[in-house]
Amino acid sequence: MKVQIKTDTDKCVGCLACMTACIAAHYSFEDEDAESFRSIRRLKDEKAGFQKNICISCTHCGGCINVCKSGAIFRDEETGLVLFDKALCTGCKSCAEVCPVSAISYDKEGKIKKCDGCVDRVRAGKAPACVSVCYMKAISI
Amino acid sequence: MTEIRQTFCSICSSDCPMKCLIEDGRIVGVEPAGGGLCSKGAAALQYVYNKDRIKTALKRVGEKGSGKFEAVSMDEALSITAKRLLELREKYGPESVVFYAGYPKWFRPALLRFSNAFGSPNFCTESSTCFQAYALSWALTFGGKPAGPDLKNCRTLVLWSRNIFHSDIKMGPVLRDLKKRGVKIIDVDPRNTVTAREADIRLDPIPGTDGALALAMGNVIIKEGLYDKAFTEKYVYGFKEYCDYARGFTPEKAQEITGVGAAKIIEAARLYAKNSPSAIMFSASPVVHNINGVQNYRAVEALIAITGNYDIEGGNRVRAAAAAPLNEFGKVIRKKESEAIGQREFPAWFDCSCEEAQCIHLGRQILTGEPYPLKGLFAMGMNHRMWPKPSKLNEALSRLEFYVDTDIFMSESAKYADIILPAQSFFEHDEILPQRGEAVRMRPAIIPPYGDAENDIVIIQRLMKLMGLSDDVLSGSYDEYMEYILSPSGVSLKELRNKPEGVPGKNLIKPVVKSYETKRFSTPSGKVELYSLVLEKYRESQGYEPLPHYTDFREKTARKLGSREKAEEFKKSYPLILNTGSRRPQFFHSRTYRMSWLKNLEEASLVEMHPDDANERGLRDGDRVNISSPVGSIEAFLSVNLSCHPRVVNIYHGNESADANELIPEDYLDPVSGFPGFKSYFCEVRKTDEGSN
Repeated sequence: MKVQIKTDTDKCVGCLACMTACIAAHYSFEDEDAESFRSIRRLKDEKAGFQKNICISCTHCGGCINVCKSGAIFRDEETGLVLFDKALCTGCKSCAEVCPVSAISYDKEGKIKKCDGCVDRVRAGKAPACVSVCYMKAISI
Repeated sequence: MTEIRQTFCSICSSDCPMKCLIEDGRIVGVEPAGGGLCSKGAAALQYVYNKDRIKTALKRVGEKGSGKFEAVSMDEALSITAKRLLELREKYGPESVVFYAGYPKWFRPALLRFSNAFGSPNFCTESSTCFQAYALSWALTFGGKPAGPDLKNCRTLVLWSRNIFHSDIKMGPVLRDLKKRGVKIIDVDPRNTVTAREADIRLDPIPGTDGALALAMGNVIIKEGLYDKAFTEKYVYGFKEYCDYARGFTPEKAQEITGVGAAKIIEAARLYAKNSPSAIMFSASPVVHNINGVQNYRAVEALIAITGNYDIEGGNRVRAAAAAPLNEFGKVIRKKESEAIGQREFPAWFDCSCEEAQCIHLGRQILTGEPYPLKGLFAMGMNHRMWPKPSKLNEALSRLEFYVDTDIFMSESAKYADIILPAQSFFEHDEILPQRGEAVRMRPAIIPPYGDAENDIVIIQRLMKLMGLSDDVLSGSYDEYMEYILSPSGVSLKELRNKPEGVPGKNLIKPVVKSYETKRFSTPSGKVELYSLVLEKYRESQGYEPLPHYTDFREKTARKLGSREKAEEFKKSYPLILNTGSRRPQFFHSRTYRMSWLKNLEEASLVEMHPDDANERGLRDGDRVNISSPVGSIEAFLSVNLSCHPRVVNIYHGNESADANELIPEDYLDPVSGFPGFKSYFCEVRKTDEGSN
């Protein structure tokens, strides 16, 4: 099974709710430096004199799975989400190179860091945190 | 075991329904209980368990402002407070003590009762710089409270300075539904915001020129015979004078003043007048944060009157839906036996009483003792960053003989206090929400208090008891007080406790339409006053104009400089218009800067500028820049933003690291409301010595 987490960039108004919902779902409130797995991008329309922030993240396309030589990235059979095993990650960064939305980064130890689709929530029958807080229904799974 | 409890988030004022996951008396997670949450609500754990939370009562041991305190018991702190406040009353009179309410707003009626029982006329709130000038503009024109847009029935909706996707995201889906229904949207905002992007017509005036824009729209409506003859004849006072005045504001002239194209103005005026019923959604502060703010908003409000869109289905309605009545909110009357702060300078504020003093000059009066000395301050949520030149207010606070602050967080203003009382967050006590719609709602206590933190109203009740002050409804228990608030609705506290998501009122006030047919307008003439008799009364003493007169802030500032050379020099030194405080989605006044997850989302200290202005100055996105005005300078990071109005820069307020209000002079005020011109002052932006980021 494959799933996708999609962000509709027309519907997104850059309210940033998904950004903090993502942090809250993965870190303790005491973790002051915690960062979201989603990121803010600028969308510009030069002609209209308009720009806005949108928030995007890993779509779980799985493009990174094949390039990972150490087998650290895999698709979870139960949920269809693209997950990773930090212990296997060698920090070669080839996954980031092929990511079409630049959604992969690395922690202090140089190991892969990316959206896990709130796998525990999804297993419990809940929507990922970013999907659930989005008033504009711009994020879907 | 995880328990799930529902409440309404109170980090900002949107009251989004929120579910809290609780383990061992601590909130471990939050989820939306309605359509979603915003970035602030989703980070609620960093709010309730913030490192700045005040755990115990504190007594000052160091110099004022040094932040040196020792922990004391609540009993000791309250008894010192009671004793000192009574001493001040004895020595200097009750008016020497100010009772101040910051955010949130739920305890304000009780604090006003405390102030009244003490005998002080000086109940003040942060609304001296937020919302109340809008209410004043409405009261002068229509009498009574602002009438909201009837969204269900309107065909045209004007969003006049309201970027709802960033200030009230809960309303976002509502706006999209209106569009699906075919409602035409006119957006008025200097910036091309995400909200403006969805509008059918976008008007982008230079900040502070709203009055000229609205007068030109009125001009078109009158010239083309699109006004409501029957309504204006019967219910409008000063219609002829208004027409004469608006005649001077042709779309072409307004284009020169506002920068909005004449054709756009005509198109918007026609759409608003013809595609009716039409409603206008106002905003608490953007328009009134100008030195002609009240009159500018009156000019906008005049459009409702001349087109007869007042209190009709689909227009601006006094009450578009049934509502459950409650006691207290907006119903407690301020004691008016002696002169209040601001009363001499801003008399219209007191004529159209909003039941609070105008404390914009609080700091000045503390320092000068004019017109009379202020010696004590009992504050709940004092935040100097709501004032222009905030640092000066803190200086003044240090001169008080006795100052108590009650707060959730150790704020910078709290550091100047003699006693600090720890307040509870909205998760820690029961509170009844102000009247809105058919349902009565409460925020229930869902976790135990943080340390010794106490409910604001219980603090007031305990102090009043210690001081021997009596009040009809505060003398009993807190539960009895809540029962009193609820009583007109017919809903009991017990019923509400079982259903915190809300209970429909048993007694409802019915919606009304065309209320003016049976009840005169609460203005001196009994009509809608485009020509305000209250303002006319102060024409000589204060120089107020009875009509919604347009005074341009640029011209007025230039005139004050005295000579053309000086005006030219000024314009050269400060060529950009400074617009402060337009909402960024992650911030709400000062409070959420202390939540690192929010603070770190983007640069917290950010100044936004149009690419043309940046290029002209050789500035690049991300540069560290200095923003200077005639009265101050701050540093921030530059965000080059296509959505900005050229020649206008935007900075959000309340930021400890770069306080935009430090750039605004203390006396740069609307003479009618006393509101600072936060949305339209002057500045220049340059790269700092350190250069780019």
